[in-house]
Amino acid sequence: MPLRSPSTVMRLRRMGAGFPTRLSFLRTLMRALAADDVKVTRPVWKMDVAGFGHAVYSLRFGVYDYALVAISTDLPPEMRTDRVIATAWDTTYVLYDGIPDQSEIDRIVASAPKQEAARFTARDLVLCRANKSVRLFDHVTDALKSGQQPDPGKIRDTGYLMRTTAVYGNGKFGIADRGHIADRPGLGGPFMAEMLTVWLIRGFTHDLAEHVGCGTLSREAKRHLGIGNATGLGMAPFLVNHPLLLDAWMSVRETAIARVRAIPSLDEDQIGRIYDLVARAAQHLAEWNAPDAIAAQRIATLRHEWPEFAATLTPEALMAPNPIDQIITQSAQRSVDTQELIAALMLEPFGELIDGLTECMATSLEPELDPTMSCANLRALIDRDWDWACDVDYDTPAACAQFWYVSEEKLEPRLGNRHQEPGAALESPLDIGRQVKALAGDLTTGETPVGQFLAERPKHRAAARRVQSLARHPYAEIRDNLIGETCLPIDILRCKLAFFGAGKFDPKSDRWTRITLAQGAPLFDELDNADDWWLPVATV
Amino acid sequence: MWALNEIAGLVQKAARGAGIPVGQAEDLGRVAVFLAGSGGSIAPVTAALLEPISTVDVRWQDGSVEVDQGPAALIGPIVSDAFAMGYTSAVLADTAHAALISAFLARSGVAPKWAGNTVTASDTTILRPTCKPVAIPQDDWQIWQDLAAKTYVPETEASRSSGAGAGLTDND
Repeated sequence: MPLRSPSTVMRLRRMGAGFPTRLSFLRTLMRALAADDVKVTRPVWKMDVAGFGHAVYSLRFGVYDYALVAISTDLPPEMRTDRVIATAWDTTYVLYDGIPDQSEIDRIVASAPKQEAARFTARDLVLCRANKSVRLFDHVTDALKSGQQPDPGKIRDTGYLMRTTAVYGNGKFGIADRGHIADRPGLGGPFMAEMLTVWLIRGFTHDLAEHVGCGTLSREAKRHLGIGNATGLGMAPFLVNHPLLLDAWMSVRETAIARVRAIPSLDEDQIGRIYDLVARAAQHLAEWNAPDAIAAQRIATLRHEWPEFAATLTPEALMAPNPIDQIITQSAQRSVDTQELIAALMLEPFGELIDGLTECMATSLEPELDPTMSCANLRALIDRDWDWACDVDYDTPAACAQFWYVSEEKLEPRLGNRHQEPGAALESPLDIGRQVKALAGDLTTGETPVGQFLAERPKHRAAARRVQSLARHPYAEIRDNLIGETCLPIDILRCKLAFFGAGKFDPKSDRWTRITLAQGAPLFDELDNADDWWLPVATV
Repeated sequence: MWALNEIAGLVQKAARGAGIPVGQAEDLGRVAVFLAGSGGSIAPVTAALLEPISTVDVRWQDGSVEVDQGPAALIGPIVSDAFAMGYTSAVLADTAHAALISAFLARSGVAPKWAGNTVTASDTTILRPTCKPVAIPQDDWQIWQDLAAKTYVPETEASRSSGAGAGLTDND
């Protein structure tokens, strides 16, 4: 069974229709925690009655000890913003390598609230902060104080007590490089330390609400309270700057889709499971609301198409030969969003067939240049793989309408309008398509080795490396013009967040979004039932 | 102490700020990590960042690449490529570049052996860098930061409100 073509899969519009799957990192982490019989304990809880202070959670995972140090601070409302320009937060966190002694706890309690303004150590694996969803947090604690459970409708509407606004890993501000944990069992997969952190934070938010409310939340309420996240442009260049990692994620997902398409027939249990998941997806769509006009339209289309799709899943269709291949083939007549939801759903019942692929989602490889390749062969690769880049006239205003840059104030990626804003001369090199077209324009067609060509034309080195990398890693490039007028960064964000396991995408513009992570995920004491929370729906 | 990922990112940005092309800036970031992680001096990286960008002129002779002129940040990748292409020696015009060229070669798995301004491969084992925090002299770090800052775009009120997304306060 062939994989879906990169020229189809790697378009922004389709990447922006991504859904979480059982291969998403949070799902993989929950399975690993369960398999290792991990127990989370809370050895430190020093909170005043208003819920300000610090706590430590610890666990042993893959023969290593880890701890989350959580700090809760009294934040004036006017300082509470999800944007990266914030300088103070309701809560701040460090995932620590080992069990911190008192001096290390003191160090983290003093430094974590400063976030980017502080320096950290290689014992600190992840640095993070989160703000309260004030409306829901206050409602939940008020309800508990009055001896009642919170309004289920309000829990469903928001879905989390706090939103993380940055989750830093891999060496930022002095914390440990990824290489420090890359070979550890359980934490070696992509973003596993970050996912462990947000799952632990989610449990902390439950504990904090119960502490302030002096009551106990129902298990159902807690399970539906995930951890929110607000993600902006900072995440978008990551996928462009890590092409081999993007290829690894996409290749695994597409290989998994191909494997389930190759299933010759389904048994009764599998058919029943698919019916359950189709119904669950319908409920999830009904509970997913986003005010953003583009997102609302896409959700409306999904809600419209989903019953039509469900009606095609007759017993005859599911008992026919190669049923999943038939379903996915026929899904091409529906919207891109519905196609991607169907593909994600069809992976869900077949963990034994595909879960092992997640071992291939991390890579230590970096793009390397092959200087021995002839210019003629490099040209042939461009002709074969880069039509989407070379067919664009980048001199037209629309094709170069935007430019990526790093802001002086926050050192964060931004996106500007080339024709209206200053700064384009300092743009970040995310114009991959334009770079490759420029290479193609200067490239000779003879047998001259690429290494010699680049000695004469050094400016094309990055583009040549990307062309060669794409030949070996076909899902390594977003096959769209990232400086064009129609490039919506939200599509890049959603692709990455779906791989994290995010759901309930709630875009606030075309360049930042809120999401919910770990909604429906097992609580600390539920890891023995860790794997059935794809597209969680409310039971509260 | 600095994380290796911080070093890679800052050197790469500094290289772009110094006018070094993107591909060579990427390479220099990797070489800086190689040097820092293997305990070597990062002085050659700073020197390369401070060197004016000039035209490269190399000659490909039988088995040897001869450099007539060019800055170290551009020559390093060329010499490294040359050994990958089967050339067995390189002759530098400027022996001050030898330290950085050695780092480029070592990172690509070639142990350099120098005779005057000519480098060949030896069979010495190359130590691989370890992943641990490293100290970078403050003067070097400051130079890197200053050069990286040349790639940053000052904010305007318009870019602050639109460039990163909505200008909302999120008390909900």
